Amino acid sequence: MSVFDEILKKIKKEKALLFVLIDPEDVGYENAGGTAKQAMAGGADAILVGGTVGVQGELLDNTIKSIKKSAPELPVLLFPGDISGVSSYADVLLFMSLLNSRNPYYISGVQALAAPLVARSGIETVPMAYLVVEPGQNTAAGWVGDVRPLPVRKPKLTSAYALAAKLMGMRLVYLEAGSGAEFPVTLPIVKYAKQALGSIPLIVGGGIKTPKQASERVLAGADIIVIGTAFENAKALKKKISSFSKAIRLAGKKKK
Amino acid sequence: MHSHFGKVYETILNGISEMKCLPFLVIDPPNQSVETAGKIASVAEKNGIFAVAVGGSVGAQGKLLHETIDEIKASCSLPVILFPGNIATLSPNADAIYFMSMLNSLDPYFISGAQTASSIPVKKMGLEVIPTSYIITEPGRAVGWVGRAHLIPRDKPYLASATALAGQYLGAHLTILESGGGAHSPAPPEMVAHVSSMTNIPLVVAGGVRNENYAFETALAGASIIHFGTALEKTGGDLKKAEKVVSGLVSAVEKGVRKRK
Repeated sequence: MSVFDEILKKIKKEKALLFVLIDPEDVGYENAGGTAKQAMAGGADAILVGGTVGVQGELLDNTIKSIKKSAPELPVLLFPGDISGVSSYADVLLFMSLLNSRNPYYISGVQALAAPLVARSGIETVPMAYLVVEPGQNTAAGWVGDVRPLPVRKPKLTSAYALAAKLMGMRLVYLEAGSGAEFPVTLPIVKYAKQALGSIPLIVGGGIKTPKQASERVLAGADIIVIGTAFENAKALKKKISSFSKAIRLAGKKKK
Repeated sequence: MHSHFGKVYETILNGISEMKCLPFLVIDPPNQSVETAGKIASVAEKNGIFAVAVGGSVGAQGKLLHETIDEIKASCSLPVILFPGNIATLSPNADAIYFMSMLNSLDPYFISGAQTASSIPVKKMGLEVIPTSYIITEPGRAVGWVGRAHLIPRDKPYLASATALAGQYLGAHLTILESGGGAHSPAPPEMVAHVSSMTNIPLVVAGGVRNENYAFETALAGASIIHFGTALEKTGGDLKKAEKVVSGLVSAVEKGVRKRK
């Protein structure tokens, strides 16, 4: 069974999962192992590794190795910001397309340049649409990816993109408000996107600062919630992850 | 690849596993009368064509599109697949649609914008969707111009493969390698061979397969499907001539397959 199949199975069982994002540039590889350990202890279901700028080469490889060593049970998924965000030490590469970029490079260009390398590495890949919604234009992902942010006032536009992704054969859709966003992806956007997607899992991340915000998004239809881990000490981190994990699981149980 | 195959896609996969290379007829609605489209489809079916793709860069829409499809459906029992040039090339009368993304366009509209604009109507029509990468190689012709394609150079097969592989990783179930309708020649055999060896989804070679020699070479190089359009259009509605052209092309494809190692 592939790692992605196991994740799908877990979504079916638990209804909602928590993924913890480690940006090697923020966390540093020497702290990544500790962070992953706290994530595992706190009840996270997987680790995403990636970031917008500077995540590559030895820093990336060492970060993943250190995560694998400290939290061997957690799957590690690459969440690349560019062509350099690929490492053969991870379990899965989220093969992403930033569908609402203005720049073809981020929709299909970098994917073509990376594809032969990915094939040689033999890493498991999952086709994923990446959609940056308001206020993501003010964050690193939106700025670097040159997005036309999906508007809060027109949630149906996001759902049209999500449906296009499904019809294009993608197997995951990630709605991103951007790291440190002023507010997370709004509830109507989550709801409409999930309606369009049906059984395709919906990931929601960016700006989710409280367990309440996470559980509201689960109830609106999110299958996976992503939270960041920058700038926190070990004890506080475990507490934070555990409170998110509990809230998400509880919301999952209430989900229809 | 995953498992929610539709009926048409499954028929295509079964056809490929049995015959290795399938000849498809392409009908561009503005290029002949509705009546002629039906007659050509009927001749095509009798001479070994596997399916009919309907569409083109400009003008394949509305009443003309619906009537052409109805006429083809009335004249033969082949699956009819929409081969859209834009968001207007939609008809509930077809059996399936190549839901295409022009991966090497310089305009996001043709990679993900048109797909977003059409996703809801496509779903409402209940059309079977075949996620398809559309890759344009030189000379590109009308489709290259309309789609603002960053054309793949004919002597760089690995650029076509890299793009096709990206499409596969992004979820495509089919790759169309397009030289443009009426091109002097199709994608070179080296490119066809390279793309088909690098990917594991069916490869369609479209544009410029204008004679038996090209059909033979393209089938031999590893194409899973070949589109024949202009070669038939040039018969100008002369059905005797069309019959001769189709049967020649279909035998050339079979000959190419037999010659494969």
